Formats: sequence, C-alpha cells, structure tokens
Amino acid sequence: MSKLIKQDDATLVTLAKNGNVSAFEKLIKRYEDSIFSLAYRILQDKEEAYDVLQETALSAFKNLKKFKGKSAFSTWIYKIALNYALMHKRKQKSLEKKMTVISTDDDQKIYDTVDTDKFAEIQTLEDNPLKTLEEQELINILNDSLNKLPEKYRTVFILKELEGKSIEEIAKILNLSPAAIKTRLHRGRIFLKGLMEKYLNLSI
Amino acid sequence: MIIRCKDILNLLSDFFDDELDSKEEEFLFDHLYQCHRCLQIYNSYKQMLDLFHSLKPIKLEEDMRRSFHKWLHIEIKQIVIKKKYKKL
Repeated sequence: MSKLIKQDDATLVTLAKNGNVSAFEKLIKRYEDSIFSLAYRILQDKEEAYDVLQETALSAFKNLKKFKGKSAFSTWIYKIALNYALMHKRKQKSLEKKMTVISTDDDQKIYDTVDTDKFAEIQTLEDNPLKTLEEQELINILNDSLNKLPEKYRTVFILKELEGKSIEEIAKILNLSPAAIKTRLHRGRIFLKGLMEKYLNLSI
Repeated sequence: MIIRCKDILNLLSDFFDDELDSKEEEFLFDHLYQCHRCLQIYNSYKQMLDLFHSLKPIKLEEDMRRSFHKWLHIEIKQIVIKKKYKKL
C-alpha cells in the first residue's frame, strides 16, 4: 500500500502543487464518488454527471495553485463541482424549454414530470401510496418533486439531505451565511412538503 | 414557552436540524400530543425527509471509474508535458 494513502488532504495538495501527479490523482480518488453523486443528484443523468466529474478534476488540476488552503480541499473542489453541475442544469433547462416549444401535444406529454392522475388513482387504493410503488417509481417521484424546487432551494436541500453536508459546510461552499442556508433549507423543505403532500401518509 | 400552531414549521425545521435544546423539544412534543393538526404536519414532514434519506448513495460504476482514472491520468500528463516544453 502506498504511503500517500495515509496522508491528509493538505499534504497531498502540497505534493500535487509541486508537480506530483500521483498525489493529485489520490486526492481526486477521495472525492470522485461525492462529486459524481452531487452532479447526478442535480442533473439526474449519468453521462452528464460524468462530464461534470471530468470538468471538475481538470479544472482543479489547472487551478490548484490558486487554492490557498483557507477552506478544506473538499469544500473547494465541491464548489467547483457545484458550479459545473449548475451550468449543465441551466443548459438542460434551456434545452427542455426549446424542445417544449417545438413539440407537438403528444411530445409535450414527455415533459410532464409527474403524472398526477396516475398517482391520484393509486392513492385511492392504499392509505400510503408510496409503499405500493416500485423503487424506481418512488425515486422518480422524489426526483420530479426535487426538480420543481427553485434552484437556490434545490441546491441546499441536495447538499444537506442527500449529500449529508453540514449547514456550516454548505455555507462555505455557497459563500453564504449559515443563517441564509437555514432559511433556504427551511423554505425548500416546506416547498417540497407541499409538492409531495398528496403522496404522504397523513394518517397517525 | 408557549408553542403556537403558526410557528410549527419553523420549529420542525430547527428540530430536524438538531437546533432545539431539550427543553424546547419537550415543549414541541407537548404541543404535538395536544394538537392533532400539528402532529399531522410533523408526520408528513418527517415522512418526506425519511423518503429522501432512504435514497441510496450514488457511486461511480466500476467501468466508469476505470475509464475516468485512465482519462485523468492522460489529461494531466499532457498538461505537465506541455508546461515543461513551454519552459524550455
């Protein structure tokens, strides 16, 4: 086993800054799953999430000298990844808009994210409709609901509830105060609860 | 401390972020056991968060991981070589 594995991020950063390619690769290996996961949660597309991972790694390598160590390396690289993921997301949305404009009525159905009639039907069958759904259907409902959140709430919600970041860490990634993050998180949750109310079991 | 129904969403957000002290938590649950409507809100709020927390962690597939490592190695080697030649 290489000695580098046991070294902390700061040491690997120093080595990488001095031209040690292997140290940089080890750093990236530590965060590749987190970067891919964050990008995938935002984009819901494997290929695009992979593109974000490549762009993030390359950008981190090219800009490593600019990293002064004021924040953790993980925060710095997460910030880069988030920026690329959000750029892809905006492109996705503008493409969806263009395609919606040129689509026929039938095509339009493809872009309707949640088939509410279908779920309204399921809801009459069981007290808790979500329990009767296949895993993939449940994932689709959660992702569709998440997609309807305004970007500033969605990003904070994904970082906190899906990626498990602390409020302090999210504040550093987004350059905002912890109080602002709490507000966005709170509003995002209320928004999502409202969107998902019809799928949630209200019986006690 | 008196809990008002209109404050319940703020309190729940703080509760799920572990921001309430034990006394505040006690007041919150006292209220929930007396107020059916707020208890329903608590239940659906918790269920919504539980559902998102139940999503499996996402990891790179192994073939993707391998091709990423290979790609990254080539890319950064190229950058390093280009830099070297610029200096000469």
